[in-house]
Amino acid sequence: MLELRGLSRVFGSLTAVDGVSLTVSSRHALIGPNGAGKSTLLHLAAGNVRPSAGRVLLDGRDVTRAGPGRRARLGLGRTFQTPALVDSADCGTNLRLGGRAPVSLDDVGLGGCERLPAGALPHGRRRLLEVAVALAGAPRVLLLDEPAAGLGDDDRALLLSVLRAVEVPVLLVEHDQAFVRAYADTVTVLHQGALLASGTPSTIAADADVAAVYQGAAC
Amino acid sequence: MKKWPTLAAVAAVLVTLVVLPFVLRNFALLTIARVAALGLLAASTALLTGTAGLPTLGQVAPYAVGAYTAGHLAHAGAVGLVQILVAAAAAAVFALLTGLAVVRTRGTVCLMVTLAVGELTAIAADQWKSVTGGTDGMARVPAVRAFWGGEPMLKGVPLYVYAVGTALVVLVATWLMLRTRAGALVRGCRDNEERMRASGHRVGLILLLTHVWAGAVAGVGGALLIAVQRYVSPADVGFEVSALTLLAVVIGGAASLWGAVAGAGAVVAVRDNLAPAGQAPLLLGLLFVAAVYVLPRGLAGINRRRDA
Repeated sequence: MLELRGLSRVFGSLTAVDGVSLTVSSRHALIGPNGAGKSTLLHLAAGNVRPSAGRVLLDGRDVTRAGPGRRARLGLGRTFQTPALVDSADCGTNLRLGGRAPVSLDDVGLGGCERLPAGALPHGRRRLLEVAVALAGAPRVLLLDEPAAGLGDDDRALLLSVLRAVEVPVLLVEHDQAFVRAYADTVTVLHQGALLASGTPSTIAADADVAAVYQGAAC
Repeated sequence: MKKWPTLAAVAAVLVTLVVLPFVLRNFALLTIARVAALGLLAASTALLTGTAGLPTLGQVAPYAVGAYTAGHLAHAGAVGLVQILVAAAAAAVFALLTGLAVVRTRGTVCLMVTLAVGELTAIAADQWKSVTGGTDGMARVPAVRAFWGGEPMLKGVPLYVYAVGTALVVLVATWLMLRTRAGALVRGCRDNEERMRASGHRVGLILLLTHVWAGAVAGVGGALLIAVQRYVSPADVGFEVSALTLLAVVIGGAASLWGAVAGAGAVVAVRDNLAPAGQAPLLLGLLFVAAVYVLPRGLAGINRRRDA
């Protein structure tokens, strides 16, 4: 379980994240318009950005001062907005560098790509490989930064089935509302760095404040 | 890369190395032995620059540590094997200490920090007379005996066998290391540190250990240098040697150990044999420009281009 308590991050005069608290214990989606602070919050959770205030707890353990490597060793897996892979290495090596959990390339539709360099994969396949790499680390909590972005229908459906089989808590940042509704059981909405609403997908869809924020916003 | 052409090329090189002592004269064999020493320095530079992504101008520093250490051991009567092992260990310790700063930097900053390490080491070699002999260098180094009970090596053939044999052992060991999971980790740190950290790998430690390994390789190169020359001075470990080494790596291919050694051979051949008197820097400059334009991936890229 991942707990974010009163997390804030200030960049100069801009407050990117403003006192956000949330608990990730199941399939949790984080949505909001562009610039709402979603990716910054994910970076704060993963340790790539240090908070100006607040704490991060992983399974009850305070990891606020730990860097991304230490958090990963404690069980925090993640993917990035732009897939982060070892491009010169083949897909099989990328998977093995991710960890020793029993995840196969077949699981993400990449069977037969064992010897193919990761850098030669098209964008959608890179996203799927990165999810497999993150799962190979046997994470206790998984952070996903827009995993469905740029995927075709088939890859999107495959990703959905892969994520549905993940048994650990997942924090998903995603613009694709249909994907969020299909996957998440809890949705948190950020607006201008602050928490606007949190609830089930249906309650969030019916929330007037959320609708007002999204009205006219490109999301 | 196709398997059979590669194996055929390796076999051809090995046969050539075996035949050379029977067909070349003393001076040519000593030149190749010097190439073996410089080749290890170039390979250590390629290991850091091309494989680990830490561009360096400072590998002459552990090379110098290895050379002066081996020189002192030679004066103390140690055999070549001991000289090589202790020189490698001393250079590795040196690389461990300097690596603590080097692996925290990347890109141009890394180049500047390693340049500073190399230059400071050259200055130390220049001024620490009681240890290095100062600008006069460490002279009258006894001829090395490879093993206990062996004859001192004065002629081209035994020195060729000693230097080329040692260099091959070190290069093969490094090549094998890079083919294991350790090599994949090093290349992973070069290609995508963020991913490696997100997968829980200790990037700083991996790069530090690579720096230490590269330092040991350069240290062995230094030990071979003093075995062949029986003399070392600050000029052997100065900026010019760093620049030539980087040139060898550019010619050979930044991520290829074997390419770097071939590049070192090309640099020495141009500098010592092909260039008219006084024109070596000009010819080396032209070689550099030609290498960048004609072989952007170095000699090691030729095989890949043929396969493409």
